[in-house]
Amino acid sequence: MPSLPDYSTAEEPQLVNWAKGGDLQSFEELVSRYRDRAYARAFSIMRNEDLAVDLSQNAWVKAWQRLAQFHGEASFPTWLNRIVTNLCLDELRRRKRARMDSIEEIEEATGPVENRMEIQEVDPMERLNREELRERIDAAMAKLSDNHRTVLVLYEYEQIEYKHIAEKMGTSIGTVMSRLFYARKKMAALLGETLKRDGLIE
Amino acid sequence: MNENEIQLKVQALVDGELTGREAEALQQRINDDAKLQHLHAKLTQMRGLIADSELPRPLPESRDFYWNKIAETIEHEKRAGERAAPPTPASRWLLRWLAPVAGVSALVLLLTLQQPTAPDLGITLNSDHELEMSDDEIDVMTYNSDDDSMSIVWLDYSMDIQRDYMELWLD
Amino acid sequence: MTLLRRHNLNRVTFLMVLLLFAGGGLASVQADSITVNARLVLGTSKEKQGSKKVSESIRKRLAKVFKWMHYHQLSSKKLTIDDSKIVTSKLSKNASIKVTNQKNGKVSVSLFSGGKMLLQKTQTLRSGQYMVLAGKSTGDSAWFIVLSKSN
Repeated sequence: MPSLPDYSTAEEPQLVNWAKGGDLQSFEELVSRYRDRAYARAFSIMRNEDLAVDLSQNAWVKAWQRLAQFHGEASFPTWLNRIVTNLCLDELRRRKRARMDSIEEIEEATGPVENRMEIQEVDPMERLNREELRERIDAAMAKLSDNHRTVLVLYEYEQIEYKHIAEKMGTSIGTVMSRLFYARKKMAALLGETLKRDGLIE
Repeated sequence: MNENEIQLKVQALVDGELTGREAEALQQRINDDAKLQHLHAKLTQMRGLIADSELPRPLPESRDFYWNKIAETIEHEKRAGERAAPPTPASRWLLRWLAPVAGVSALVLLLTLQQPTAPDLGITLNSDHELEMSDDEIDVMTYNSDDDSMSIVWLDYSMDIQRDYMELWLD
Repeated sequence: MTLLRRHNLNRVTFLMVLLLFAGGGLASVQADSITVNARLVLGTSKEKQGSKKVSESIRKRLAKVFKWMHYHQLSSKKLTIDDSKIVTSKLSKNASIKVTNQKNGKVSVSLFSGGKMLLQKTQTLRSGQYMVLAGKSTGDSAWFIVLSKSN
């Protein structure tokens, strides 16, 4: 009688192959290994626990359904996180908070951004350790609008080119560039504010 | 190009989105302009900071709960052979609180909504279970595990009711 | 002589039968008494330091159905209820239950909050079965009243 494979020690490509063959247990092992990453990506975009859990779960279901399309061009978690991101974008489109986005879109369009936000001279890395910096960046990301946060996630975390970001967000490359510029400057301003607030800079 | 357009081009250069002659021309311009050099440096710094900053975040649910929902949906979609319909607002609320038991047939769930004209309900669930509500501002949902080892009555009420009644419980 | 003995035997037999019936009746009254464990539990996403956790058997059952990861026992009462009798028990400052023994393992549980009755649930409660009344509480938590028959 053949013995069951040891899923917990199996390599990722092997688990994926087994899962492609319909082995749900191997897929469960993949979920076990990467569920936190999938959730973290969903939360980075949605900033809501319940939504992030729901969307990451939906992404896992879609991943199961689309396993035949995964050929190992990227790692499995990278491929999965792309599914997570796409589902989040779909959800954001459904929940578009027009008012907040339009205020910032006006700011982008009229170009007062660089006038209102000073270029921060301080290097946050000199004042904070990596963990503290990550937490502050995360807190600053939460203050951005959905569009600005999304464009940062897509570019910085997913490392997607401008034109593909434009396709995903249903907008022009020029808008992507403006949003990215605004988002980065706003992040710099927010980080500077927290450093000032905490007395780390004057 | 106006100032804003130049700044966006500098950003594109930092992001590797400008290539060839356009990139060379802009780099030359930056070399001759202190303000653009400054902008280039700050954008490079910000890019480096954010790229590696995604905070690791543990899933706020137990492993079994999280996996059960995924397995349940996979099974459901396999049997249905089509995309699952998005849950209605009421059932989405319910699904949020409850974990699906493995196997749809194992889940026996009755959703009972309060009838506004019937202030005192006597609800017969099956020959053995009876439920009577006496407050018409509280909805109730009931659940029996498949092996009958647990019966649950979940009370659903507004924030006002929670504040007036339920929060006093935990004193 | 023989007649007297026979009469005495009959009387003895009669008394023995009487005793048997009486003893059987007494046993029957004791069998209809039921002991119920009632616990007030708080379900939370984050662990509460210093609080008592529920038993593993209850935790497993609740965790299988509900999303919370931690279950803390706030109070616990053991109620012995004779046949057709009612016992009231306070589980917290404002939460109380009234449990009625309706015979043959059937119980009726009324839930009160601040003296106001919210619901009444009736069912047969067998050993190993749990009756759970629950609702949401502040923050991301929920209260549970878990009732089970004590062996």
